[in-house]
This record gives sequence, structure tokens and C-alpha cells, in this order.
Amino acid sequence: MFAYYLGLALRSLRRNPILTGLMVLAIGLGIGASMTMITVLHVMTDDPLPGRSAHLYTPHLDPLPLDYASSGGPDPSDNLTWPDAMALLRAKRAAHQAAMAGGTMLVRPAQAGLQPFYAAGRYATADIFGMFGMRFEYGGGWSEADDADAAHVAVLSDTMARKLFGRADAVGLAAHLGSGDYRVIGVIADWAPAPQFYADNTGSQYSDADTFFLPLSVAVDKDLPVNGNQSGWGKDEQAQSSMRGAAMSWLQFWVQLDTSAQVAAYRQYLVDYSAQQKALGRFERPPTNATLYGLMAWLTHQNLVPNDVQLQLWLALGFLFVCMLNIVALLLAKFLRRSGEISVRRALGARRRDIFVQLGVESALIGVAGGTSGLAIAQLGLWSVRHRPDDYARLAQMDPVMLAGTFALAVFASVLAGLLPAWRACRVTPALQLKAQ
Amino acid sequence: MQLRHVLAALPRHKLVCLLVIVEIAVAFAILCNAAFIVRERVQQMQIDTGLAEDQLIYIHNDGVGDDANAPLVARNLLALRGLGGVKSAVAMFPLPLENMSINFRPWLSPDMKLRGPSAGMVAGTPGYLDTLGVKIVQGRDFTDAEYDGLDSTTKPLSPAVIVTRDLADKLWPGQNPIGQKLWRSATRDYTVVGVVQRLVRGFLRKDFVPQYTAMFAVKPVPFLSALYVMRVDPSDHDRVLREAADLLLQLNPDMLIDAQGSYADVRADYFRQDASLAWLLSMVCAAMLLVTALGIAGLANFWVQQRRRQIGIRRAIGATRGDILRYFQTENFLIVGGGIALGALLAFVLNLALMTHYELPRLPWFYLPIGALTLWSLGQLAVLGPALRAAAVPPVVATRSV
Repeated sequence: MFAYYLGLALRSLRRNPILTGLMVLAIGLGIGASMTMITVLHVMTDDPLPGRSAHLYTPHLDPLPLDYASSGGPDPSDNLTWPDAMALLRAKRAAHQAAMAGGTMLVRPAQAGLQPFYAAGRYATADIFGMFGMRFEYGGGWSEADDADAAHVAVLSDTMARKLFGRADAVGLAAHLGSGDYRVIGVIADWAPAPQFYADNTGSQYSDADTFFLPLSVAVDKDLPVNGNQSGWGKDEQAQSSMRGAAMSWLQFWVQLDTSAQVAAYRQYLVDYSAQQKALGRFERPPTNATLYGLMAWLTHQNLVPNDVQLQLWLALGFLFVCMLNIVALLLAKFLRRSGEISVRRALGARRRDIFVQLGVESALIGVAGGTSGLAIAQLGLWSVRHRPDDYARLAQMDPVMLAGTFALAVFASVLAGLLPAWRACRVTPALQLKAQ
Repeated sequence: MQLRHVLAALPRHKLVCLLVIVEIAVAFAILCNAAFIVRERVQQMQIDTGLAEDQLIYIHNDGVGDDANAPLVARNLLALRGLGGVKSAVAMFPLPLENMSINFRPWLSPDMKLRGPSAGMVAGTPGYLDTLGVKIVQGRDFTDAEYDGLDSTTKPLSPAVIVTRDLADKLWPGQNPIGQKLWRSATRDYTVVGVVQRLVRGFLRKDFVPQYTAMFAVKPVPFLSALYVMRVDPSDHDRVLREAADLLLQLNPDMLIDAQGSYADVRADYFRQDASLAWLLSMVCAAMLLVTALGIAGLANFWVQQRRRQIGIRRAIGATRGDILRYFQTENFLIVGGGIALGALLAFVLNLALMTHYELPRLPWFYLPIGALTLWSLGQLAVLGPALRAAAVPPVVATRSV
């Protein structure tokens, strides 16, 4: 029966090509616009480290003064101060832990003829490589002793090593970053989780991957430029503007906790630490403000999806709604116009149910055609998004899930749109229509 | 008379009419709010910076590094001033809308109890206010002797500061701002020597008032060496930019120039996301209007085909072609009117939602009549084709039995 209905539907659509074209266009535009924005939202909120994200957490302390009034800018307590980060690091209460901050340095290639260029990278403590699962192609990371000594060593990404030295095996060579020379001790395979959950959230979370890693202590010793929000508070000049100051937050901190017991224990440790700092007079707010965010919860807290993207998503969905209403009206008119044909079928023995299914198949067929055109329009839309000046732009690609989703949404939308007209059409009294006009 | 007939015939197609009314209502609500958002963004993009924008060009580089290289900045400025077409050259930080800034909240008394709102800091080498073209409306510009260096926390050593009119009115309302003091720390205080009409800060954020800017006098130091700004004739932009870049690279072989252009480029770059959003909203609205118009046309076409017999009868008993045309136009007018009435309500509901979630201001009332006019014209235009086809139905159709 299904093949028969399909044949009927095709014939009916062909009979009125303009109207069919109109409906396919309407659905195509609506689906295309919606899928473009849904895909963008999907890539912006996807899990950056599937497999590890469940065990990664970031501590959140509250060192701000009681009277600190946030004026709508970024929250300084989202980052840690140097003394707090070092204390948490030394306490070693988690399986793995690392403190980090982003930096941009001017790189001068050793090869003659290459222009200097700016590169984005990270200043971090030794455990970052193991904790985030970066794969070393050559060499390895630095040790805790190197961290303590502020050794001038560096780990490069594969792309950076090739760009600087012409080959990936760059262990032992000297990289000229900023105003200093660093001995390359390891090269990692290119690593670019999106969004960059471990970066300070005032910057971009979707742009350049980190191409170099330096020990954090070196960055502090040499006062290297830091990417991201550095906020100071209070009245003490030194404390609020120096990198080691107790009243300036600029560091991000991540830990790996494997069991829920460890998570609970770490949470308690943060509260105890805050209570201790309060007793010492450094913290002013209640120790119970200290909390621990899981990776995905942290992404939600950061509100990564800019308002503009959300606005565009809602606009696209509103547009889809208008298109669907359009389709409902057109389908209703079309089906009611065929009352004569439907009545003949009813007279020949079709039940209301059969008519309903027949018209439903017709709606679904329009949906499939609309989905194809919608896919084409969505690809066009995503192409234009990739050319936008936004940082997430280059990520706007369709993966198989989104592709299947396009067709599913198209068919679902048209079947939904066709429900009311089909129901209305199958309730027409056959006898009235069969009389000679 | 016509109206009564039209209204009487509408309930026959209750469902379709209702659908079209709801569709037009939703389209109207989205249209009004989208147009409002676009207008807000465009207004933001047209912000008056207070500069002589068409005469400024800039070269941004990676700076001279540490203090030992400080004399290079003065030497570079001297060389740039020697170029043909350059009226003046300075080094400064930052340009308005350069997308970076240092902001501070000044204290208004030495006991550091009273604090003002966040102000943007602007610093530059001798003569920079003149180069930028800002108007001094009270007091005076900095004297050459007042330009001094920076301390270790990038606070200027020179105690002179110039503020914008709006900042002066905010910090010292009703008083003469000249001679007033502000504190950036317990040991650093600054005295106001002049007031400029307007200057916008380097980076705008929703909690920053754009025109609260404080200008400081800084001699050529490494901190300022990343940005050279020159004042030239609008016709000389490209030539002077090329020559200046070549000159700087010649004098400083290690320098890396990462950006250069006219001030218009700075502005376009700062607002590119707003521009792209405005474009997107406009295009989706146009697409929505197109879909609505095509839908109305398609439906009207159907109705005309369905009512051929009735039209024929009416023509047979004396209706003119004009009457038939007017009948369909009136019917369309009423349906779209119903949609607009519902749409006005939806527009305000949607605006309330946008006000809560996206901090949009309240929709001004005049968007509704403009939107109504747009949709009415669109509807009339869309139904014109089918209505003309209806008017062309010959009276003889009434006599046929099919």
C-alpha cells in the first residue's frame, strides 16, 4: 500500500508544480536557516574531551572582598591567584592537577627568510600533559623539579615544530620565543579541543590551538604577557598588580578526580582551605562559597554561547515556524480542493484512516524534498558562517549527526504541518462531494 | 456594502483564514523586533568617537621591547614627522575602539572612600591630543614639560590629566573641574588641567560608559611604542602609509608590523560582528517576507480557482471587473488586518522576552504602524496577480454546469 500511496503522492505533486515548488522552497528555507544555527550551537557546546571530561574538575574559590561589587564585567573569582594555585598544587589532593594561563609570544624562526610571527600557547605546570591526555611524538614534558627551578624548556606542537625547524623531531633544538631561548624537550601531536575549556573565559574559546607550552614559573619570573582577564582588588598596590600577588587572579586550575568519593573529599578540602585563609585574614567571604565544577558544568557556567548566536537560533526557529504555518495553509487548501477525488476513494471503500495515511505520505514526501533543498541551503548558510569574523566560525561544519538531523527535522516538520490538513480532508462527507455540481 | 459581503464569505474558510492570520501575526512580531535590533546595532556602529577620523592613519607593531630601547621611539617619531604629507606623528595607547584598554576607577578623595565610575585611560606623546583632533573646551592642553614616564604599574608619573566633559560632569557635578584632583592609588594623584568635548575609550563593554575617558601625558617610552598615529590629508592615506611602513622597517630591521591602515579600518574591524548580525537579521526578515508573500499569492490563487463559478455568477448579474478586483483586495486587507492586530500583541510579548534575556530596550510604538504598512502593502501586492485573474473570469462561466 505504501508504494501505491507514494505513487499517488508523486503524481499529485507533479500535477501542480508551482505549488509544490512553493512548499518545497518554504520548507527548504526554514530548515536551512534552522539547521545552520543548530549546527553552530552544536559545535559550540560539544564535549571537547570525550572520554576524559567526566573526570576533570576545576576548583572555584572566593577570595574577593565582601564589598566587591561586580559591575557586569568578568568575575575575577573565576580565576585563581598565584598563592592559592600554588597552595592547591602543593597539597596534591587529586590524582593529577595543573595550574595554567594563556600567553601570546612573538616567535622568531631560526631559519633565515621566515618572518617573525605571533603564536598562542600556554604557561603550565608539569602535570598538564598527562592529565589532558596529550600524545607526545618525540621527547616528553618537564618534571616538577623543572617547574621549581623555572627551567627554560618548552614543548611544541607538531605544527609549530615543523614551522620553526622544518621537521617534527625538534627535541634538543632552541626555540626563540619572545625575548628568550627555550630548549625544546618534547613535541606533541596537534591538540585542539573545542571549546578551549581550560582557557580564561574572557578570551576566545574557539580560536587558535596552543602551539607551545612553557613552565608557569618561567612566565612569572620573566613577567611574560598573559592572555585573559587579570583582575586585581583591594588597596594593596603590590598585591593587586603583580603576578605573584595575593589579590590578583589570572590562573586557571584543573584537577583529575576519578571517583565520587575523591570529588567529595576535594570539595571538602576547598572549603577547609577557604576557612583557613579566612582565619588568616586573606579571605573575607564564607568558606562554603568554595566549590568544584565538572568540565561540562564549567562550560555551562561560562555561558560560552554568545547572546548573538542564541538570538540567531531563535530567529531561525521563528522563521521555521512561519514557514510551517505557510505549509499548513497551502496543504489545507490543496487537500480540500481534492475533496471530489477523496470522496470517490471513500465511496470505493477507503476508510478515513487510509485517506489520512495517503495524505500523510504526501506531506512526508514534500518533507523529503524540502529536506534536500534545506540541506543545500544549510550548507550555503554554514559556508557563509565560516566566512564570518567570529572565532567559532571555522568550526561550523556538519557532522553525520547533523546531516541526519536535517532530514529528520524536515520530514517531522512537514508531517506535523500536514496533520491538520489531512485530518480535515479525511473528515469531508463523501456524499456531498459526489453530487453533480 | 462590499465589506459586508466579504465578511460574510470569510467564515466558510475559517481554518485557512486563521492560519494566515497567525502566520502574519508571527511574521509581524518577528519583523518589528528584528528591525528594532538592526536599528540599535546600526546606531551603536555610528558612535561619535570625537576624533578627526578621516585624517588619521596608524601603524601597529610589536614594540621596542625593554626600557633600554626607549630612545628608538623618539627617533622613529622624528623620522615619521619628516615624511611628506605627515602633519603630525605621535605614539599612543590606545586608539578609541582599538579593542584594548586599561580602565580604572578613580578615587575622589585622599582617604579613598569615594570612588568614581570606570574610566578609560589614554596616554600619548607630546601633541597627541592635537593630532587626534579632539576639541579642548575648558582649560588647556598639556605643556611639553608635563610629559613624563610611567611607574612599574603603568600609572603615569606626570600629575596632569585631561578629562572628557561627561566624565567631569559625573565626577564633579556643578563644580569647575579645572584644578580638581583624582587618585589612582594612595600615592598617585592627578590634577585636571583641561576638559575636552568628547573622546571614546579603547574598548566598550555594556558596563562601560563610552565617553568616560581620562587622558594622560607620557613621554616616548616602550609602553607606547606599539602604536604610531599620524595625521594626514584624506587623499594621502595610502601613499603615506606605505612610506611610513617602509621607513620604520628601514630604521628598525627587527620590527614586526602586524596592522596598519586608516582609522576607518579600526572602526570597521571593531564593529564587524555587529555588522554581520545586522546583515543576517535583514536577510532572514527579507526571506520571511518573501515566504509570506508567496504563501498569500498561492492561497489566493487557490481561492480564485475554487470560486470561479461564484465569480461568474456575480459578473453575470452585473458586477464589473473592478468590483471583483476590489472584492479580493478587500478580503486580503481584512485578513492581513486581523493578522496585524494579533501581531501587535505578539510583538510586545516578544519584545518583553527580548528585554529580559537580551537586554534590548522597549520597542518604540512607531515600529507597529510601519510594520503594518509593510505587511498590508505586501499582502495587496501578493494578491494582485490572482485578483486580476479573478477579474478576468467571463460571465459565461455562470451558465456552464461544470
